[in-house]
Amino acid sequence: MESHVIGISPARKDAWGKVSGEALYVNDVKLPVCLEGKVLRSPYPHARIAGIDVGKAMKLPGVAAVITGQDLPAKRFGNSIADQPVLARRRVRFVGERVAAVAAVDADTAAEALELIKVEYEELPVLTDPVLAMESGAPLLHPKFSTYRNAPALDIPNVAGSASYGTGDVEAAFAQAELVFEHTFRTQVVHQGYLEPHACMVQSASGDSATIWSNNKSPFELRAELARLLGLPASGIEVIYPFIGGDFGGKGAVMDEPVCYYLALASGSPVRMTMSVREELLAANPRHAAIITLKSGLRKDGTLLARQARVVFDSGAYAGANSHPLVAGVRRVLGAYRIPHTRIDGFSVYTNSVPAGHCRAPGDPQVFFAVESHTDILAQAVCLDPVEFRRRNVLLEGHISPLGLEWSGINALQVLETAVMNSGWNQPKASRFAGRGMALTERNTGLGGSSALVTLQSDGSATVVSGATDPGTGSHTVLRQIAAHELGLPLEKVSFSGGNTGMAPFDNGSGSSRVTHVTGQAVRLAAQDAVSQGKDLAAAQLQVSTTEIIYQDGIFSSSAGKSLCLQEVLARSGRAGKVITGRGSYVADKAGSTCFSAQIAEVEVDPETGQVTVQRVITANDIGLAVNPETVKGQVEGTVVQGMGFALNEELPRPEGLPQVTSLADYKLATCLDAPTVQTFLVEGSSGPGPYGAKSIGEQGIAAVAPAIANAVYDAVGVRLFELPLTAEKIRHALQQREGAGG
Amino acid sequence: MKFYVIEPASLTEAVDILSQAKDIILMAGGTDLLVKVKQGRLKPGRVLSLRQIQGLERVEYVPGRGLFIGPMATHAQVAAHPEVICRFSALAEACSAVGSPQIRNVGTVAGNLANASPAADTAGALLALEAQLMLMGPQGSRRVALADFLLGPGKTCLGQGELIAQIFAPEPQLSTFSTYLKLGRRKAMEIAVCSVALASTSAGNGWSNVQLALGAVGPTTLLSKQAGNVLEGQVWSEQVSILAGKSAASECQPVDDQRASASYRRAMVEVMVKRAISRLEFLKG
Repeated sequence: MESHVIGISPARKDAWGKVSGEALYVNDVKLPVCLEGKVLRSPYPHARIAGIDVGKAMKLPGVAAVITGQDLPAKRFGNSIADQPVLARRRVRFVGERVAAVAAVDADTAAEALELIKVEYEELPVLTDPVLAMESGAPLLHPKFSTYRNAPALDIPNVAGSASYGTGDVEAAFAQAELVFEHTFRTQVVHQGYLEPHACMVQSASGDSATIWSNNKSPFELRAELARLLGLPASGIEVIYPFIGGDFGGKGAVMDEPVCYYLALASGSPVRMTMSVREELLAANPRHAAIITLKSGLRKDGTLLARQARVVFDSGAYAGANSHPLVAGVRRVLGAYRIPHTRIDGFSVYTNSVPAGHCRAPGDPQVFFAVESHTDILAQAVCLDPVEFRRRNVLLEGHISPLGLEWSGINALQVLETAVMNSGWNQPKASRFAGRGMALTERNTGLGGSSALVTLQSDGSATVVSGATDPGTGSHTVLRQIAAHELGLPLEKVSFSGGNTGMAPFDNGSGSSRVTHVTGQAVRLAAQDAVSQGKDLAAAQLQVSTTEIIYQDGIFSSSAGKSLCLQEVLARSGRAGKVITGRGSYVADKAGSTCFSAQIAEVEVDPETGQVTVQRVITANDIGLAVNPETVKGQVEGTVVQGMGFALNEELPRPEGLPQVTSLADYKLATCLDAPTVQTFLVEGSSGPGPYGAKSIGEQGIAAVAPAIANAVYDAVGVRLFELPLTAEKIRHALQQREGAGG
Repeated sequence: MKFYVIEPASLTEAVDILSQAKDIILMAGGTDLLVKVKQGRLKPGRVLSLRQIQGLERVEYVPGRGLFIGPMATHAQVAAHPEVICRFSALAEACSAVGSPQIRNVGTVAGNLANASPAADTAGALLALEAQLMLMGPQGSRRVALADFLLGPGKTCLGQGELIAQIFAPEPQLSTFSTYLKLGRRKAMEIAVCSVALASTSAGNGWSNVQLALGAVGPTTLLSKQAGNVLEGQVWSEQVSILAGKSAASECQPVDDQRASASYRRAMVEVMVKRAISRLEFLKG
């Protein structure tokens, strides 16, 4: 499309401030008086609390308040199922659960006070395996589950969410298939890896209203849940959200805000709380571990006939951090293929592990590791190149999805071919232990709703007012670009304003790859509304009818050749009743479109150490239209590095419910030295639901990385691993076993 | 957290202060210490910093004698020193393998040794280079071999009030080569799964004065005497190399932890020793 500002990549307005330190984050906001809050966490994965003695802690000089679950209303919270207590009541369900909280004059005093709290625990049996936890007769972690708000009616032990999907008749199709294969895959718990830990500050002088500073990326959802939990009207809660230091899905749930509020009430003073890195790794809401069994029936020529999946997500102790108790990615476990007979059974199961939550494309990296590894095994079984096998089965325009959905703009084959063409797929490999692997994924284009305002200023500039957060994605720049395009103004003349739920209109928050699509549409409509209001004013001034007014690049002109610029329209319009604030609201259609990505990973395996070096990743992404191509590429590169961490090294193991990794020294996030070369190819032209045909990018790249790497490792050394991460030790072990077996 | 920082003007003054009170903790770069303090694992009342003492960051090579490293010399300084790169390459490689640029700019080699992590990068290299430490304490100065300095995880032979006043690595004989190899799960910010430092002098076709040190596979970074003996005076054929690797693997004492299993570590010692041997052969040309 032709535009002075769409499809270009201007520098972000916030970039300088973030580099220079001028950008304000929650912990930069200071009040004249503010206490530090800290929580005491459970050392046991499952125990009854027999008693808590806070006497000594209360007496410590500098301590203003000490609270336990007994001091609080017996209410629970959650984005969907309200299963989480603010502080544990009578029972703890994971190592890291909040048991008591202290507000004191400084962090050291608060920490000292925590050590003075005596908690008497009686240990209970620990459930760590979600498959065992859902067997009949298993002890129930939430005996009162059915009484929780939004709890589904389910009768399988410890299952927080469950659903079945499918089309056709899988059993009959398996019976007719020439070949049937079944494999089980496992994936691990990983943290989102944002730089800034969860932080909040609460001021509530009277208890009938509250001001909350938080780095939650969905401040309107936070406000709504706090209103329910704290018994306040939403209008009585103001959430102020400065810059957010990364999110990757992990900052959309309620975290310390309620406990901070109750500490503020108990102490009569504002309180701030900041999680340490240790607490982040122990008790934030990381990605769900999953156990995925896939069964496929096919013809000998490689045509897929039927596919069945059973997916068990380990929800941990609580499911409330999720907007759906059953992780949404479960619906994508069949892959981006044409399969007439399908069935999915998905479960989300309580265990005594850390409560899992949203992490960049919730569920997708887990299910696509399974299905795209499985797909390569099938290709090999029918002696087809992995690319050729996918070509034969990939969804094409007009096909229905494996779950029977009708998507518009299916360009999966084009995306696949773009990656293949740019990778030298059939060319000789760099060395004896080099390998290539590919994966194809699919992800919806963003959900939810948003309202936006576009105010025209009397000097001819404009302000976009939106509740969308920018957790480092560049979305505010993208939203300004959209408004600048509609208004025909240079980008510098369009500013962004938000940061406060009391002043900005509603937005769902920056999640599910939705901001460019959903908030972008709201901004586009608001800008169009502003232009339309401007035309009315211009028509009145020029004494012609509105339909005669044409607006272009800041100039309103009539068919008679008279024209007024924006400044003139607003200047002559006087003071009262003639301001221009355009409004736009938009709600995404739930299942109308999706986007595809294909990735090819090139790896080198060290057969002696088992180490995998990812050398290059070629990635093709279905983007519809890139409003800001460099920002889009930045998202893709980020997903590749994050996906590589998931594939190779990151994990938060909890054998017997006991966390083993509680520092960033042992949580192996990839460093910039580990990052591969990433070559990104944006496939434009499919019609997306976003502004000007844009689709979504924030999450779509992450799911393909692990299976592409796993398939490349197989290509390099012939070892197939069914469990992530693909650590050097596991790969070497598999190589040794194969040698031992004489293979 | 709060603590008092004492900044003496000389090492003698530092020793005086340290020997008078037990609750004072010595700090060089602080890259390990301050993390422990912030995590609450260490609660010092007072911290004695060497920062204000002039000249402690000195790295000096004296031809014919060897390398002298002051207690405040950083990893970055040592790694960039031309004579270290040229004559003590295992140490330059080890210093470059520490943490990240930020940590290397602040953390010191002496601090790395005094911290006595079995995985300390510089300890292995300095063991292979037969380093000695000059310790200064209330009873005066003494010189100890690094091998005798390291006693266990976090344990050294430093007595009350004693500190590392200088690190010394003797001038290597002509045609001596050394290398440090580190195996980890990522390329920076990494604690070694296992590491190997090897120094030896090329003599005719064979090699003499072999020093082989292993990291992260025992309670301290350790010298592998058996494997050293296998290599001593030999032409390093593939067979000898394999034998040395096996010998080192049997001599090390790794444990299971969240970073790697003991059996993987043992197997990797074998691999890394072989690679260090190849590397020295390559350096010899």
